[in-house]
Amino acid sequence: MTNNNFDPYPNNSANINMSNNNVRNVNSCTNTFVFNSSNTNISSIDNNHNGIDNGYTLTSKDIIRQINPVVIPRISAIANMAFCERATYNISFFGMESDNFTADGVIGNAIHRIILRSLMEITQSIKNNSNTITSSHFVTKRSKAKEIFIRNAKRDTRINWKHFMISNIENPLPSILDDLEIRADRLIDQIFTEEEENKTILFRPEFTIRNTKIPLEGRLDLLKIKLKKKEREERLSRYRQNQYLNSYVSADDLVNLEKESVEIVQIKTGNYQPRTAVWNLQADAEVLLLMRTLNLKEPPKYTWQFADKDGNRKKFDFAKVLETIDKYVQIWRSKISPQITGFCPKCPLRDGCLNWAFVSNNTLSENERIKRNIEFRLSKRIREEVSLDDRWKVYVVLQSPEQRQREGSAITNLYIDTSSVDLDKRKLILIGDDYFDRFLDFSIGEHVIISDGNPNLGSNPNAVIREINIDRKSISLEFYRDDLYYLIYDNRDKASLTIDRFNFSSGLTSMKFLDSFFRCSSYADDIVLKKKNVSQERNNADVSMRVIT
Amino acid sequence: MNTGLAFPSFDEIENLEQKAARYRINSEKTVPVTGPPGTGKSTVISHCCFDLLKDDYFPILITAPTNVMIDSILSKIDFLLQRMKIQLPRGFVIRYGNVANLNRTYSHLSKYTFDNIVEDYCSSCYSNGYNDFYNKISIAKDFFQNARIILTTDYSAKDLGNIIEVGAVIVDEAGLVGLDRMGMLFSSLRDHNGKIIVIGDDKQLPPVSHDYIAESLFNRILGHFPTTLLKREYRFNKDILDLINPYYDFKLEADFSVVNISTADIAQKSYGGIDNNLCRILKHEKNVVFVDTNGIYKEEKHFTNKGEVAIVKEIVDGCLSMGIKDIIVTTPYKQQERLCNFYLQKGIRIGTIDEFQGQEAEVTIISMVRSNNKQNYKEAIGFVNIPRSCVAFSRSKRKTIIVGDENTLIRNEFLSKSIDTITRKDGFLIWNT
Repeated sequence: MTNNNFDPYPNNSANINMSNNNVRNVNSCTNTFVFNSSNTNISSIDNNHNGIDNGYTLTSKDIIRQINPVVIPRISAIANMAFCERATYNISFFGMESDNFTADGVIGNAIHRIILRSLMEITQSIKNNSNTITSSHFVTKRSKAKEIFIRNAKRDTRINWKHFMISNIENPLPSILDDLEIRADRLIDQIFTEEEENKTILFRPEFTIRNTKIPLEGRLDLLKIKLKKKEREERLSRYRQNQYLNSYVSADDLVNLEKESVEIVQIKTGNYQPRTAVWNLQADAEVLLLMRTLNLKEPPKYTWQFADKDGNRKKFDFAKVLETIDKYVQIWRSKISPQITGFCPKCPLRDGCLNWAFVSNNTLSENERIKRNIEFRLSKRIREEVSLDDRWKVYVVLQSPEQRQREGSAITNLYIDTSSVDLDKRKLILIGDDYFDRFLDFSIGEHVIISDGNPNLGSNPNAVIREINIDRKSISLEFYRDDLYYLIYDNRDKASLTIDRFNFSSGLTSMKFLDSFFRCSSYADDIVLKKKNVSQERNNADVSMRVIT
Repeated sequence: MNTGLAFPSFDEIENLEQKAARYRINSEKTVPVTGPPGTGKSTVISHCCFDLLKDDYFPILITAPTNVMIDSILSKIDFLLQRMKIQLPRGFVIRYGNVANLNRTYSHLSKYTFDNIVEDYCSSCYSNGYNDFYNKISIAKDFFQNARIILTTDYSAKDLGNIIEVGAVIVDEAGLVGLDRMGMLFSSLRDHNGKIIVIGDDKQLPPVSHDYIAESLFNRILGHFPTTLLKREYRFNKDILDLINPYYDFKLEADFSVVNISTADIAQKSYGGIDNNLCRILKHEKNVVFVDTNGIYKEEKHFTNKGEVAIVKEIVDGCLSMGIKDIIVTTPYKQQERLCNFYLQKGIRIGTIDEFQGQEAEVTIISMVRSNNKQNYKEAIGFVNIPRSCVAFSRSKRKTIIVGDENTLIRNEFLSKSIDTITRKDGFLIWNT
């Protein structure tokens, strides 16, 4: 577990310690916040939503709020806000979509999926000495490997046709193949050069880390972990003795494994381009996060994998990362609207934060200033509310899988029914143990995350529950992101799995829409007026009470 | 795609209010319709969408907050088509989104699902030697752009923003749809002449989000436009109607077809057990029953009440022994729902009250959970407010059984009145241990 010492109720009275002696104290307008990277104190949001009580009833959100969950922004959000404070007030700050949908994103995601899957398939074949790849002749091996890339590209466009359709892309394959044409050759060369080594390297695609010690959430495209010689030889000998079963190393166990080197690979669509400052900061934050999570003493190698060549990050500025987190907390806890005016002429984020345009306070009338403050607080409230839902996945890590199962929020000790795996239809069946029907809170159509037991660490795909059979103790899943294959390489299919509820996409959509709708719609004025009246009435009531007493 | 279909009128199965609603839908741009439980909201939707097609308001986007609700509307549309023996071209009606419930509950309607429509078409192309799968995307898009009726949840409707613009939007259970979602649906209209039809019940539960700016836009629309109230209900008998009628200012009336229905019509036999409690509760002539736990079973941590679960279990077993299988067990609290799930027989529909809005069953058993000595009525009753009680009481067609502690519940005015109503109907019983 990454959060062994996690304290869900942190006190608010420590300092920020950073490795370079750059010590900062953060004081917000209302609270003194404390982030101490050397102990387990973490940020939590202020949950006293004063002035918005309109007699609502108790809901699951209230309950989550009482639990006092942690708000963890995504690394990309932190990287953005380091360069523009206005970005902090944008939805993207929380790692959520804020820009208009573009086809580039869909194509890029597809390339991403295809590369990862092909890499896993090829290395898996090498490990298993399967006929798919092995050949004494290098050219034959190479062409077979390239076929895997093309086959997966065709497969992806065939299977994900609906994604492309709703994105209005009619013929995605040529664009995808253009990128792969250059990239596949290069990757194949790398794989075969390191062939013997690849047999013992642990690959982890889409490795997610949500770490409350450093309040950040990261997703690494591919993690390559090379074990120390002793560990490696032991594993090799196991291969030789055909004891490949149960060789899967769970994400939690990775922490204690003796590691010689670790590499983070981030896949970038298109040809090489110079890294921006935002990319660099993001890389630094990812490296720092991984170091803390896997107990690494040295920074892991960091590679941006473009279609035509790789780029590496060599110098890391961790102080900047910590400073940025610090700043985030400060802004997050502030209760007054920002004094941001106009746009930066040389904005490093370009259009990243255009949605948040402010005119100078001096040019506003009293009423307009009140309105702005109300609008700011309201928008802040929206972000808080949705982020609370979003952080459900962080909340679940606070308890063991067994405990979560007892409370109905998880089902653990599940094993894959290997005969049920259907890669084309992206379906499989998980079989539970005797305690299977103790779960009480899952239903068909619900979104779940599948993990080793810790949904905040590892390569954990998402799926929708399609069927629950109490008699068979089975649960049938459909993987809508085509990431089922994470569960079947390196003999992970023999390992025990846990499913947790996971559905935050509706939150993202609502939040994005609500935020822009609020600011663009004429209803916004009505709402602000209503809010103002409520506040006024309350103030009047308070005054009357004071007079009476 | 054939667009020149002539649809017959369906007048003979409508009541006066439904006709009025239909008339307004045909003649006005924005029409709110208020429909308390069981008053035929889905029927109005299924009928008026054919009217809108005749007036060229297509495609029509029909949405509801849950897949269960949207599947129910689709079944009504299909029922009309079957009755009128209308054969529609493939892709005329499209059900988009999560169809797990549809495949399970209405498997014969899977012909309307988007995936099946596209897959069937592509398979037929494939068998004819046409094997260019990249075109599947454009084929799928064509189906969407030529569809006349599209049914989906308001959440899934966001997917369609990039590829279609619609002529009319019909939002079912609009009271449950938040401001943001509703705005998203309206923005999918092709132009300002598009129709907006919002159908719901402002007296039932509000949107799930408690944020006041996400309050139901439905309420705002009701404030700005004249509303048609559907007041004849077709779901439950007169006794159950009397439980919720005060909340609707006594405007609702039961249709003659349901006014006297009871469990006697569906039970294979009367209760034959020896349990005196169950003998009294399961009598066919008692359509509304309040089972008073008399304060013996106090609420526990996390708002659970194991004593009530035990009583509910006995009642469920009693119903099953009579051959009544269509039962809903509901409760305001999630933890109590979990307990019920754990202890009750599998196959019974169990859920929180909020989950069951829009659903119905022959018999509903409600575990109220709260039993305490707290003086403050808000602390004593919690979030069991009028809309939530109203939803709970109005799920059943033939029998509503409420299990709770009278002394605690009467601190809420609405519940107190409801218990009085039940007592007047001789439905008040004390559970003897």
